[in-house]
Amino acid sequence: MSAIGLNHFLALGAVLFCLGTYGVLTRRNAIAVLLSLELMFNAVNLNLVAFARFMPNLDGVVLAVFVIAVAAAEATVGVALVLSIYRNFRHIDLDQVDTMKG
Amino acid sequence: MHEQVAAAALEGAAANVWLVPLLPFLAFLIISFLTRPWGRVSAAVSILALTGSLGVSAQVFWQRFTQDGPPMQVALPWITLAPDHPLGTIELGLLVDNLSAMMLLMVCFVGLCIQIYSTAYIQTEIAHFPTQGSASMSRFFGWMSLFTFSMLGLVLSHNLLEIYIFWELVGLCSYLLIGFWYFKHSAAEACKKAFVVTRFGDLGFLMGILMLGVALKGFDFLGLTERFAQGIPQGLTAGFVALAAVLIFCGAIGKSAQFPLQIWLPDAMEGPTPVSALIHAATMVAAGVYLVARLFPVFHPAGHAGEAALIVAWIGGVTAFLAATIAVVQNDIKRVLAYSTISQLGFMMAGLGMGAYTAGSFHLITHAFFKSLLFLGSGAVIVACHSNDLWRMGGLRRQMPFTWFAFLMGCLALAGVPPLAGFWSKDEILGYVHAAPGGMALYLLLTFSAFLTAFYVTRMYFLAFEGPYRGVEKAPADLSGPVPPPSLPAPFPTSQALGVAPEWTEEMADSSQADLPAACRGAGMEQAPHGGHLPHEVSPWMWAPLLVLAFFAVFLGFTGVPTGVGLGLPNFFEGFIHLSGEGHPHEFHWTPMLLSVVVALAGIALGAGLFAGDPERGERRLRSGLGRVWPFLQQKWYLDHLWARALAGTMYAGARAMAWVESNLVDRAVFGVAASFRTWGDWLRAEHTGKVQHYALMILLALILLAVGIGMVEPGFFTSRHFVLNLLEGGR
Repeated sequence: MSAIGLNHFLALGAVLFCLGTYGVLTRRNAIAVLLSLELMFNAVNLNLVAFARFMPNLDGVVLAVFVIAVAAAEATVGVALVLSIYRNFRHIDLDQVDTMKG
Repeated sequence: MHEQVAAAALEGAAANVWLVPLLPFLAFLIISFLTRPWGRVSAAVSILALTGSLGVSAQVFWQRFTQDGPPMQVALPWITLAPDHPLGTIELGLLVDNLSAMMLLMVCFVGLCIQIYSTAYIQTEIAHFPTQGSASMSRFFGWMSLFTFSMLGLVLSHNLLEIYIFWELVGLCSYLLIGFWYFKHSAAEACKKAFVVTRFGDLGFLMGILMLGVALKGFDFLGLTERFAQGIPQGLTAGFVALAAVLIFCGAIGKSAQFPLQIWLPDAMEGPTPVSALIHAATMVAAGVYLVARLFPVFHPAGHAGEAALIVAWIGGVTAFLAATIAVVQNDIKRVLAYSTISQLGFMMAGLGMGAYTAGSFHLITHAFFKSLLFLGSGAVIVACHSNDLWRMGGLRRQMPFTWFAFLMGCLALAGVPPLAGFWSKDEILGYVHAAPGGMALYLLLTFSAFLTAFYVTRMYFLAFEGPYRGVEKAPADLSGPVPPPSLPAPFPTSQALGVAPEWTEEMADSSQADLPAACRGAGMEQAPHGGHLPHEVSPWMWAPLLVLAFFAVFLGFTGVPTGVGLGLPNFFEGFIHLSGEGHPHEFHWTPMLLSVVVALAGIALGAGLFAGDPERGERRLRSGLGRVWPFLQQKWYLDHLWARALAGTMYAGARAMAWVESNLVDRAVFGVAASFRTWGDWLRAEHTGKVQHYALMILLALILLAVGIGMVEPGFFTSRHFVLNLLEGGR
């Protein structure tokens, strides 16, 4: 059994990203969609950190810190949106939120 | 263009010939921009300018008359085409030869008489319209000056394109002056009709000009006539030349009111009477005749009548006959004269078509004098009687001695009584047609027209000047009034046949005036009460020009007496106006001359027999004698209806075809495009569910599609080291 290399991290990141995407696209509960979104962020972060580990510089780590900051901001906006949806619709079922219908 | 043409430069008095059209144009500008508020000043400006033109043109005429030489011309380049263009340079220029010198003198002289007359006449008309004042007088003289400029320019034109420009300018002035009382519905309709009808002819004219000019690589008259003098030019077929000539003649048909486009001229009588005298009797309507005379060799290559000349002759003959018959039944004194003008123009055309170059031109000149005299005389009568209707006149001989005398001279000249002007010129034409090979049928037609001419002139004279004065009160209600009367049914109900009636007819004009406020009503003077007093003689400003013109109506004919008559007079006119090169003066015969005297006297005798004693009884006998022909003549041979039908039929057929194209092709294409967008829109609309997760899915799919696309186009993109490095190292 060989040592754990970059490709293992990338594979894990890809799996996590796909799981997150699947969650975003399929979950009806808005909170669950936000959670899935966080999963996608962290998959990307994992990739970045892994690259930083196997490359001779810290760019990836710096980028990951930024992503975490942005994700935090995104979470506040997202939760605020969910609250707003709840106030308007009395539920947070995204399937039934279709006022953007063309 | 054609340097081989033997033409001298302008010399002597002719060097000043440019002043002749320029002075009236300056008068037009001055009147338009400076003296507009002061009508009398405008009149003075216009008359002074025309007097100057008359002086110069008299000098030019005298120079041509005393030292007959080659035609003189000057030309300046106007449009320079590409150097290798076959047409070379198009020029504007002045052409002075005997014909144009004579026309210049005639236009200036008759125009001056008419303008002097107008100073008094137009004021009486203005007085009838409360909205019109001194500025209207300026408007009148300004446009008269513009017309005079255009007509003189037309006469002096050096090439076909130039004459076309002036041709349209006189048409414009005619339009403006017919519609001078623009607030009268009838006048507005009449000027529109005149303009549109002549446009039909002008279309052919333009095509003819282009055919001839492009084929012969030049437009100038001298070049054209020179090349036709020896026969049809090389490279052209007789058919081509005939077609071009006929097309050019179309312009003359329109302008000179020949059959079948004669319908506009009677309606043009809506204009003030001096306008009728100047434009619609003496000058502009003669422009068509002038054009044919100017291009005489094109119609008669090498002196032999072509097919086109035959068409000219027969159109002229038919017109002369048709208009003469209609003139017999008219009640409006100006309309009698209008139809008479059409008829006389037909005589000229017939003469020119049969090859009577000199006689046709001679009749043009004499006719200009006696017909403008008759029109001005009728204007004086209208002023005196406050009516155009012959049945409201009568007995004016005693009240208006000067007008009576002048008018009588005009009538005799028109009727063709020897030795007045009209006799000599008309007889020249008749004699020539009689002698021409194959001209017998045309001769008989023209002779019968001459008989009718004498008859209707006599009728008009007796109704207006002899017997007791009738006025409004004693006018016979069943005889007087507009022709055709509104009660006279049309031959076929046009409105039912096509859904359209003629756009405009005289009876409509008369009824349409009822809509106007009384102050603006058509010659509102017609309704003016006469107060029982008799008409009285008009002012000397009006009768003096009449007497001057009467002098010429009597004596002008002696300038063209055929040498065979034996009066001992040389034939000045023939000596002056003849075809260059060959002089073939036709042989003089006593038979046609005596016959035309007999015919004229017979017409007068018949007219006098019917109308001298009791005109009403005579008119009734005439009507019963004519029987069913009478309404036919009153409806002007139904030609207005025929035109309405032909035009409306063509228009409607075209409109129906267009409607089909519109609804079946254009609409289908347009609606098809719209429907396709709607379909696409519906299809795309279904994708916009409003659910955010669907949008996210779309984004994901698009991203995958993009990645796959890039991967297919450049397979190494994602696996290359550069991809990762670019991501990580950025722009470092």
